[in-house]
Amino acid sequence: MDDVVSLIEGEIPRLRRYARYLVRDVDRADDLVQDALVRAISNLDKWQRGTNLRSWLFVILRNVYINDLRKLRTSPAPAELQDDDAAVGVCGGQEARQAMVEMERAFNQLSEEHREVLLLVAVEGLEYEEASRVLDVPIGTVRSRLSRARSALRDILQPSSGVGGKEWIL
Amino acid sequence: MIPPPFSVDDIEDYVNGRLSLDRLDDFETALEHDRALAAAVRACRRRNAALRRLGADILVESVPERLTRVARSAASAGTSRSAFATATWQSLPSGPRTRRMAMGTLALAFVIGVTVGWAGHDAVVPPALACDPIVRDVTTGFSAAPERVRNLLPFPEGRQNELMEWLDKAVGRSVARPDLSPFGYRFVGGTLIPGYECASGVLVYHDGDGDDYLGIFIWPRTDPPPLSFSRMAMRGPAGDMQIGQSDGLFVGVVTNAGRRLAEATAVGLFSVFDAVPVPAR
Repeated sequence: MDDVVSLIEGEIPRLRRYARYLVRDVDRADDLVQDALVRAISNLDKWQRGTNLRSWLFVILRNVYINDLRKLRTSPAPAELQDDDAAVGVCGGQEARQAMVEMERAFNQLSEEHREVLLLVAVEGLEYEEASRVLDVPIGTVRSRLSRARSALRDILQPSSGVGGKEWIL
Repeated sequence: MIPPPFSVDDIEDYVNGRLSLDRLDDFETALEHDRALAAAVRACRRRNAALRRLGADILVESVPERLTRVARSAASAGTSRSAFATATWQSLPSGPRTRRMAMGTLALAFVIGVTVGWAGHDAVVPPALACDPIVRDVTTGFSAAPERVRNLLPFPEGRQNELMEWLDKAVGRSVARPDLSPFGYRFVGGTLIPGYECASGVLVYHDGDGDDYLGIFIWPRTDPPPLSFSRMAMRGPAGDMQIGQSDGLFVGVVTNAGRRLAEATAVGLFSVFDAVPVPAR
């Protein structure tokens, strides 16, 4: 049991990142993670050994998020991240940092749907099948949504003439 | 401008290791001659590397106690509903989480960390492979390695000849350092690892930006493998790994840049080993 708990604990940072991108608010995100953890712990028997614990936790977190939205009857469109929130830890020099800032800003201009699929597949490294379970959509939808998301991201990055901007151009 | 017949999605699939095998050869052939395509691949890799770093600061934030308390309270309560209470659970090694790559020795530690993570992940997924002694040795040997590696002097790029000489001695045969420049990866260093049963070595490569890495583990083995495989692929939460053997020499390829790169590298390495057996010293 301790092993499972430590595995789940190890996933908390990634749950916080996913939640942060869903609700765009630090405190609300942690509330969301807490609710998801409670639900996960009480349903541990439903997690199949050998399957991806992270994607299972993501499914739970997203379901909690959707349920919260329904209860609150709020718009799923979240508040934009503050500039301070957009800053990410980046190794490397000024150019790399600038490139990351450009990426963060471009990412935040995407639709929620596109951000989420990119976050799951490109950032978290989930397989298409796992992402389809998290998003509760067919795997083909994941593929097409991901393709559109990447295309939108390229379109946003391409006009950039700032430092590193040319590097994004395909 | 992307030359036909490859689309932007093809490039994304290639970079992410999802290009179908029937197109992979054509793509890589085109990649060797088409500068625009190669530039597009580099741009795609750079963009994906930046994507992977999104929110990296969140991952290193300290976790609020209220969240860890929730998880730990479950352990203290016993959660009798959990199937794990009665399952024949094999504890997973608590491998290090994926972290951003630093250069030099940090890269080495990271590659090993990914390997540990991979081993831990797959130890419960395919039982047949998990029982294989080779996998067991990799798990055990590399799990123990990080502590020992700290006491070793890694060989940076400028001392690669010295590294290869030591590696030759360690594995008991002459081993050429693979050139991965066709894949866009350059050698950045390596070290020797005192393994579980025998010494092994690791060669570390980075892409142009240092965002993606590829590690090649080499270790000798004298007893015949119990499985009739020449190459097998595994995937963990933070990387892809391929293990192959030829004439008693085992090679593991670990990368965070997708299974296709791992596979392409492994196929190249193993085919070389198969075609030209390296003489024992």
